[in-house]
Amino acid sequence: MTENKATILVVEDDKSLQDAIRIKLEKNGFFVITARTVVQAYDYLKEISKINVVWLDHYLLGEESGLDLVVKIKGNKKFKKIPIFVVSNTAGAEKIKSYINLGIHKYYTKSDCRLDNIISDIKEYLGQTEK
Amino acid sequence: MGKKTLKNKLIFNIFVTVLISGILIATIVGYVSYIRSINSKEAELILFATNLTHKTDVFLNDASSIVNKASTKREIVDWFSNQNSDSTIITNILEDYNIGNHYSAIYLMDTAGNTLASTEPSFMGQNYSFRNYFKDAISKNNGAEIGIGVTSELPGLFFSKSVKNNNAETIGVIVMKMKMEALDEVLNITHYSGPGHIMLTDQNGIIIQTDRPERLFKSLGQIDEKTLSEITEKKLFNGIKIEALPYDPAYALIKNGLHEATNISFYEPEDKEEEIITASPLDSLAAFIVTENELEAIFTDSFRLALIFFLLILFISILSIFGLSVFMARLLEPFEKLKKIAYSIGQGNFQIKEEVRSGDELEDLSKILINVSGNLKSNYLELENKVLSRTKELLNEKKQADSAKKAIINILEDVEIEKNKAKNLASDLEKFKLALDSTSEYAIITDASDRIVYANRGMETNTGYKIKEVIGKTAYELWRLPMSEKQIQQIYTTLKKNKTQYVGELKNKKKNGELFDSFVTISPLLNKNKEVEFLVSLARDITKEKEIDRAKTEFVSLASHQLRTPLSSINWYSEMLIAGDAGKLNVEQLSFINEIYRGSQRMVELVNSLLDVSRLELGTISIEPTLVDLNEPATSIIHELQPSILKKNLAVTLKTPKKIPLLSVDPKLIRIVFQNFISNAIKYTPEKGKIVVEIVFDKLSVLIKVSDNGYGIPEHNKEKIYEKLYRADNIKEKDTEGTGLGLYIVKAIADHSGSKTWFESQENKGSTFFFSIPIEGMKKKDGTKTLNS
Repeated sequence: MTENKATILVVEDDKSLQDAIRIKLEKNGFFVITARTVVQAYDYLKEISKINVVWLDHYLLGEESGLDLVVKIKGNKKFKKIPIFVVSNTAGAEKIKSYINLGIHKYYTKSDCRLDNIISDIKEYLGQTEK
Repeated sequence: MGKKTLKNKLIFNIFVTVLISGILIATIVGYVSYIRSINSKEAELILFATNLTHKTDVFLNDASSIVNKASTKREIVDWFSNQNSDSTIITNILEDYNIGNHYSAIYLMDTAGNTLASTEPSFMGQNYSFRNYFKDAISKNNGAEIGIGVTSELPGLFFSKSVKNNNAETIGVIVMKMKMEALDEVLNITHYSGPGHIMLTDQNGIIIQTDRPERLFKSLGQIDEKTLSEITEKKLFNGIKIEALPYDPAYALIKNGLHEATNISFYEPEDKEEEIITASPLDSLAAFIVTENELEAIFTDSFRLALIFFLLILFISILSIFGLSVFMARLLEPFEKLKKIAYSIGQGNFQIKEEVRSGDELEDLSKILINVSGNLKSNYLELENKVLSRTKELLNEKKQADSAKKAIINILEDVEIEKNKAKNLASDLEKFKLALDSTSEYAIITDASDRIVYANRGMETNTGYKIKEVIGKTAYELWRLPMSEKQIQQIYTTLKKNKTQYVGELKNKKKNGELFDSFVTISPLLNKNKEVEFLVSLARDITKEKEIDRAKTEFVSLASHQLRTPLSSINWYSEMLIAGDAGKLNVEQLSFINEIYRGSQRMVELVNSLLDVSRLELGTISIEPTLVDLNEPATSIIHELQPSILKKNLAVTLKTPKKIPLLSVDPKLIRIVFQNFISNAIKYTPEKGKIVVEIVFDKLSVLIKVSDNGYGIPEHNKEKIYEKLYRADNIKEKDTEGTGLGLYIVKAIADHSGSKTWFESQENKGSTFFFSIPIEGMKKKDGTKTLNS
């Protein structure tokens, strides 16, 4: 079963929100891996070969922010094709621009968006690429 | 003649004299030459007539000498002795005497007057004893007569001579009748082309030959009866009636016996002119040569001559005047120069350039004048210098006196003014010091070399330095001004170069090394020459204010993250519960969770609005205009709000021009305007109400207009409608979702972007909200924040 499921790496520092995302994603048939720091997230990327999507918050635990992770992912040939969906409450216009310029797939303001809207966007993306 | 100079006067006088005498002489000469010319003309006429007479006489004498010769010819004398002999032979002899064919007939008569032989056969047998020429030949041996032949009826000159035998007895008479034409040659009548006319008259003035044939056989004047009957009796003119021409004076001249050629002039009525007639008697015949000349022709000739003389003399006169004037001009030139010299001296100019070089007394005079001028010059200069120096002395003395007087007055005035000034200044300074010392702000005054000349007590409390410590030192060494080079340069330019006030924030250092922010106002004080003499700085420690600002910004950041995170949590879990992700809920549970979800949504909205407000208030909002089609945000907002519109069954209409020009605005800000206007209209319009969203372009601006037929704004609430968190009385009860921040934000956007907003409203009838943007769009503004972050 797991082989058929899309694997999504959710990088979110808030435990409560992380759980909500995970539960909703799993309900929608995703295999979810969660991380709360950039280091942790990057380790998972390296360890687990098959991560299809990254769900990323801006403020994270530890020194580094979501931007640092995007830079790392996009700087690595192996990972740079993985789509990144940034879901954050804080990033200002400048930061959003930086994310977009670095090549993320889409940016969402957490409080303004429903989970199912984001998940359907992810599904839509994956459906397109699989076909 | 221009100016009445000596030269002109002389020339004028000479001109008049010469002209008058010239005219006089010309007239006299003209007159004399005229008279002389007439006299000579008259003499000429006499001479002409005399010459002609003489020529005629010679010719006629020749004729009479031929008759004389023939009368003594042997054959002719013999023929008279043998009267019965053949006349043919004698006729041939007579024919030989017709020399030059001048004679129309040569014939021989007996003493009874019968013609015995004749070259003209018709004369034969005729008796001409009545003729004078016959009578004279018999009585005086010779005869000559002019007349028309009774037989031939032709005029002629008859010359006769008695023929004598050896005993000197008259035995007959020989007659030669000369043709009148023979005289032509002598008188030259047929070819005559002289000025007048030529006539040959007999002793009675009857014209027998002339260049004017119509006058032939007419008498010059009226012939008396006796003479006329005599002529008829002698058959002189063969019965022709003698008519009289109107030359009575000439006729009288002839009749009175004339011995030599004589002129007579009179008015001739036939030709209607004054004429001069010259008559000259022939010696050989009782006849006269008469010439007729027009007096006018003679006069004209004479007059022309006189006129030529007159004009010649006049011309010479005028020529001499010109010559004279040139001569006079040259003669008088030195006078002109002398005049100039004298004038120049009179004007006080002693530098004489003119000099007379005429070589006569005038040159001497000019030399004397130049000498005099030299003397005058030195005298004049001396005098002038004396006057100048004396005037200068006087002026100096006056100036000294004036300035001394002024100085005394000034000193007195100054003393008074200074006294008052000092008094005022002292009291002003005291007040100023008191004011400055009692303020919490710190004030320092620096001089032109940036050294502190004054500091107030506020400086002590703010910086930790004592007043005594700072006087004489520069602000830079005391405060060490930890500013960028750029900012220092900017302050320097503003104050020292532009000489204008500097207002801004500075970083300062206290005595103990602590940094602080200050808000300073530095004003340059300029002296009379507009140079910066002092700098007056008033400064305020704004470290605390800055800290508050930072706290505010931090709060915004906190709010955006920390407030939204739990709200997101509520949102997402509620969403999952509603979606049945945690198992199916009963109706009541579902309704409760929905309430929680809606509350959370409103909370998010409120947080977002509060963030916008805080950024707008902090002034950190940036405006980034791009070209926007206003149709897009309007349509998109209406679309987003569709659920609420449907819920209330509202009719929302969007009215835009067919072609909307792109407008340079910040798309986020314009979205907020549409969002607030339209969502307000939805909130405050009852079910089935009407909402109209309009975009109107004109030359100067673009107008966004949202009108509804909803609850409207009560009159007493209108004033406060743009205040933060204010909500009108009538809608507080009807709608609980409003934050009271929407119009406040729209107003803040309008104020920041150079736009305008206003409204029209009537309670229970509806409201219309307006937002007007200048056609050139919003102005770009750099800030640290945009509204939706």
